[in-house]
Amino acid sequence: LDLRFSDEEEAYRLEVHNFLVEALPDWWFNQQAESDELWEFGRQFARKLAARGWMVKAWPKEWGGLETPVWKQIVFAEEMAAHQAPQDGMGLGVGLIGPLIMQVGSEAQKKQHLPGIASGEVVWAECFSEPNTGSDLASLQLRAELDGDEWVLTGEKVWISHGYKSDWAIVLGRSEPDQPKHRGISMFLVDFKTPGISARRLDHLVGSEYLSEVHFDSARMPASGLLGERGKGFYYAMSTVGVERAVATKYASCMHLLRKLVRYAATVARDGRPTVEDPVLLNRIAGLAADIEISKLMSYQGSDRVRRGEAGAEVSMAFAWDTQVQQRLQDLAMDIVGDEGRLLPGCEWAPLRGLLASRDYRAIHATIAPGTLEIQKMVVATRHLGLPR
Amino acid sequence: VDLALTEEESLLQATARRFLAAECPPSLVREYRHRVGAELPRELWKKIAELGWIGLGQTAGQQSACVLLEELGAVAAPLPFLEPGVLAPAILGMLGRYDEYSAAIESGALIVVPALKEPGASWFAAPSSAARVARSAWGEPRSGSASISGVKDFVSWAGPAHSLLWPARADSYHAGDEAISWSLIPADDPGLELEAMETSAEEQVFRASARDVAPQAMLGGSAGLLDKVLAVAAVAQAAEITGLCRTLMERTVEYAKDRVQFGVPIGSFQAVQHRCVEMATDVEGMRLLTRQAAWLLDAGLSAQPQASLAKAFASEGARRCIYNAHQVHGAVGFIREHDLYLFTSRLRVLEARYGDAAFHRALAAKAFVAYALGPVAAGEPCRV
Repeated sequence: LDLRFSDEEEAYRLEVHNFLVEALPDWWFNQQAESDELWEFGRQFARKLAARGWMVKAWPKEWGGLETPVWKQIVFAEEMAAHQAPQDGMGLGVGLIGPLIMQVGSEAQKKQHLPGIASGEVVWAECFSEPNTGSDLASLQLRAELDGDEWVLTGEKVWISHGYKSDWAIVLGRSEPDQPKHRGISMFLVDFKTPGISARRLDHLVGSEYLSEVHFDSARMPASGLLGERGKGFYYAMSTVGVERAVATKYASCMHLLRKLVRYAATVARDGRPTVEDPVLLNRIAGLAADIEISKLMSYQGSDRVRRGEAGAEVSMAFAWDTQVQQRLQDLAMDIVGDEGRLLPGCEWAPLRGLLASRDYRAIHATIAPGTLEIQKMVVATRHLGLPR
Repeated sequence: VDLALTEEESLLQATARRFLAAECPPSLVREYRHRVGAELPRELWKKIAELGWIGLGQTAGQQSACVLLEELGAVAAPLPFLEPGVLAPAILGMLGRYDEYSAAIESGALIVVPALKEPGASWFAAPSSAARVARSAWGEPRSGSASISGVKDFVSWAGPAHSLLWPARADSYHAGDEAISWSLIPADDPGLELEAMETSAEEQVFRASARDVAPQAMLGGSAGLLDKVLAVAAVAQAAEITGLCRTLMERTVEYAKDRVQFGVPIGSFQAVQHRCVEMATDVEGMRLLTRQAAWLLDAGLSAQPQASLAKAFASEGARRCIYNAHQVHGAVGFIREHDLYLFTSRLRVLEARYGDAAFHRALAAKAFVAYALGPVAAGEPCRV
């Protein structure tokens, strides 16, 4: 075991830290894009990252990446999280869709799509869920029919993160209705400007997600929009879901918040003594410190195994743990800050600039997306522990 | 950063697993229950000495000791290992005196167990037990005149031990632990009385009462030593708990696969699956926190709050594992012919030993608050 980062990695941490201090203005604090203005700020920030090659630092050099090693990627992610840097609309293209295109896409698709992701110019969405299809992804119904040299998509997708702000999307549709349900699904690369596609923002409790529903009304797209092979879409999707879980690094922002809370508790009093001396709260602070340390170590272990090519279902264990820790931390935060914790960002009396009130529904949401806690536990039970389905 | 076991640790783990599966079956564990004050399993003790396990923490580091403790916990080994094999060598090492005793200890010939907890006091509280030294008119200690008096509880394996490692208050002028002096006292001294303490785990623990016992050796002491002892004990105990919980988890998963009700294995029910997943997650969390703390000890870095976080989490996780294991096993887990209680009853006492969750959370919180209120170092805003 060695939990030290190398001198080179620490130097890189400082470089990222300094960049973020420079790039993020004083008014920026954990504000995920909840307005068009903030969204636009996020886009500009993405271009700054891209200019340094940091947008797709993990990618191969051939596609504009830096081939940054795993532990440097983690250092980078920790700093981004600790600074609450904007990440809206970046993760899907960089972490999931780009690598998937590299893996199964045609040369033409790679040339068409990878540069736009690397430059931070093109925002991608992921159209998987439907009104009647959530955890049971293989049950999806959106129709994909080949008509001459065009695919025609008809149906509805929902819970699409920043859907109406996106330029392109990967879409799962049923192309082989006569096949067993898992094998009848294909994946498409779809231009959101295609006639027949309309995205509508949902008025959602976690505003920062820009959650949308997307209608496909006989939207016609060229046959070249098919990604990989027909009937393999479900399996491509499953491989991206795995990656989505592996990249969770919430522990860094959680530890940062816990530290902020202790600092806050030292400035306020209850029953005539500093809140930070309340033994009941101290007991819970220690509990959360252990919980977050475990999140960190599980994440490190997952990354270490990804690096060795040994990653398995324990990634789901780490994800399940991490999301529950976020909720326990939110509860502790609210108990430390009290009524003022409910004041929204922008309110002059709000401690920690209203951070806690804005986190409330995000904490509740944590155990639902991108895969519910129950599904994560099922994955651990069946694939890791070998329990029967 | 590297999370994998080293080659040596992997080899040690594999050897220990193989060896203990053959040499330490549940029948041996049962044999040593109900026998308070028993001889230790001499054959097994001799073999682990030959394997070089005793004192391994001093020779190879606490991480290696934790690998062994997890494996010994996994078979609920009825062996005095944590105390004479890990903790006493570590304390002697901290006192700078391990070299004098290492050969005898590592060969298994000399069994030394620490006597730390006093009745009614918490673990690692500064002792009230007294070390008196008769002095000449000029204030010089008279040679051979020292004597130890006091009472210590929960002294593991004091029965077969040769010596007790005993912290006592050497002067009454200082309240803190700078006044604590450690002594080795002979277990067969007529002034030392051992009374078996019958715990729910039917283990070998004793109350040791000393009245004017002449120590074999006065070993001195230093300020802050008790905190270091605490960290080693907490980490070692957390490692053993991890092993016990691992076996509980594995056996519970196996049982859930085998037991059929309503025509299907109960392990296909989501509610049962979630209990199994909680156990697996608890074991993983314990192991990771324990390894982190052991690594800090070996690296000579400050091990708090991590050592206390490890023991606090292990103590709490042990409780969840006990309930989950028994719930999934149902009625069958309550008959003594079933092995389950060998593990759960042991966990029930180890939860509290060397400090329970509340004790260690309070300590960890103190260290964490000091860290959180400290200056923010550039470039490292997210570490404990």
